[in-house]
Amino acid sequence: MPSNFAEVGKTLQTTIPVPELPGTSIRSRLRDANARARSRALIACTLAAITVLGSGTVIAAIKLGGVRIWLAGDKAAIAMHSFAFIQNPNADDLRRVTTDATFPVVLPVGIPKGMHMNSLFFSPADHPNFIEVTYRNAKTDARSAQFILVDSSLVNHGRAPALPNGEQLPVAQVTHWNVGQETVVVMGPGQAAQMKAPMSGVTPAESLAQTLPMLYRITLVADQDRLADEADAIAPSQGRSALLDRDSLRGIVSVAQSHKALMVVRETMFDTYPIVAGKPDFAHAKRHLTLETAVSAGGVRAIAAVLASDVCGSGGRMGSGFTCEMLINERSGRAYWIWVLPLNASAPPTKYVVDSTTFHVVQGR
Amino acid sequence: MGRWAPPEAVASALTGNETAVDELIAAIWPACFRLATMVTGDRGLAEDAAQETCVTVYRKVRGLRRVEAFDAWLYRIIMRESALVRRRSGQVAEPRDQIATGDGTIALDVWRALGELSAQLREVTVLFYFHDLTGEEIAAALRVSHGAVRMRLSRARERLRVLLGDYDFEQPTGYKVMNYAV
Repeated sequence: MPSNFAEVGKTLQTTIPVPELPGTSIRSRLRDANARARSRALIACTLAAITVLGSGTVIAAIKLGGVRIWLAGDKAAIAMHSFAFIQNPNADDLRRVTTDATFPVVLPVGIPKGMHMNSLFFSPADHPNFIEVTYRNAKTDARSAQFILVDSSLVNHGRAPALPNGEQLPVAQVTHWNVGQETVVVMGPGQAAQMKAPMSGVTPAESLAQTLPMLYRITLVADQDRLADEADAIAPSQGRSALLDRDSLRGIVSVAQSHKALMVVRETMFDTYPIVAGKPDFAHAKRHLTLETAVSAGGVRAIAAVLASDVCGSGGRMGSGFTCEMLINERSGRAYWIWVLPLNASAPPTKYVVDSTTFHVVQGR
Repeated sequence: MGRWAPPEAVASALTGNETAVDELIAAIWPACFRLATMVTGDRGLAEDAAQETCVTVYRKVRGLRRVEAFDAWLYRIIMRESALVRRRSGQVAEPRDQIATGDGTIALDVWRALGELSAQLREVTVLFYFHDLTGEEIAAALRVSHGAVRMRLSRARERLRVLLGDYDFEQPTGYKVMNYAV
């Protein structure tokens, strides 16, 4: 009697050995996917007002170094072939981008207190002639306008060409002015008027000096960085510090078991994305990620040791409800310093000191 | 009745409860991995596809409105991710014998025959014969027309009859192997 193909196949399928659920790897991919989604949201927001033109323009943009921009009154259009994106940039990121830029960069000054630079978006990645920055207040979630700083030599004054399908560009409400060799384009309500005069009165170096305090010193391994300001204020100036949110803490035990460091995406570069019907198709873009170590393998083990003492609402198991975020400071010494920051804002943070050899945990001062 | 997880588990995850989503992921993981293995023919690619599937579930399950939509939605994601990892790797369907089964012997002829099919024919074969999906359900999972599914199934059956002449290709009646997270 012949064997039944479906039955044999089903049996075959059920006998395939299944690896253990790789929770850490999935969490890591999740963080990466969330970062991509945020960058896409940012880009979509930018492009909602500044329209990307068709493929012919993009080819021209490639020849001209990646970016072309047209300004006509309060309308703007831009074509861009590739870009890089950094969420919560640090001082090194900003110094590198401004140093490598093709023009002396005057950064926005007069940004309201409590804001941190939330995103740094630039193109081309190696020698930017287009830089966009946004700011955010982590406590209130208030967001600034989008400040686009471009090399004035890129700017074409006048109407942009029509889209390949013959449609005219939509009207975009932008404000723009020149500072030295830079053209500043502000998208968003209200803030342009109060920025123009301060930016005209500072040098690039002065604007950088005023911006550096608005960058996080710590690495945020967090999607919801509600405790970022508090952690940044607590973190020592020496050594490497990182804040881990609840999602990151969930996977930390298995990372510790595999003796691996916790890596994060420092910079995402999108390259050669196709333009479909006048819009960028990021799903088919080439993407390059630059990773960095947020927490060393030893630091990961130290966090796991603190979690094991059940200070954060659980024994560190994936799927359990943590009630805190954690800040870790690593320096070349004998101990890791870890602060448990309760999500309940009224409770104070607690410091723990973890021996780097024995991983013995004691409450610190 | 859900193919991947109990409806109440899906319903809890749809509310956005983090623990419920974690539990749902744990429930679907084995079946996701096995389906991806059958479709890609490679354990490494399958793990990649299954992990990306879990990431999508984490991010988007809250957006589903109905529990009943979960099965079809998950099939679409797995099939899409499997196709993506296969394309990225440049692999043509060519499964390796050693990953076929736990004991390395069961149904090796079926496994090898699957490897002789193109990716498109392999997909419809796995979904139709091993997951008991209807033509309409396969069309929805693969985002192709019902006619395309019928044609691919017909071509797959033709090829399999040559490769596995002594097999019967009728669907056994009343057979449901796809319990929760097999």
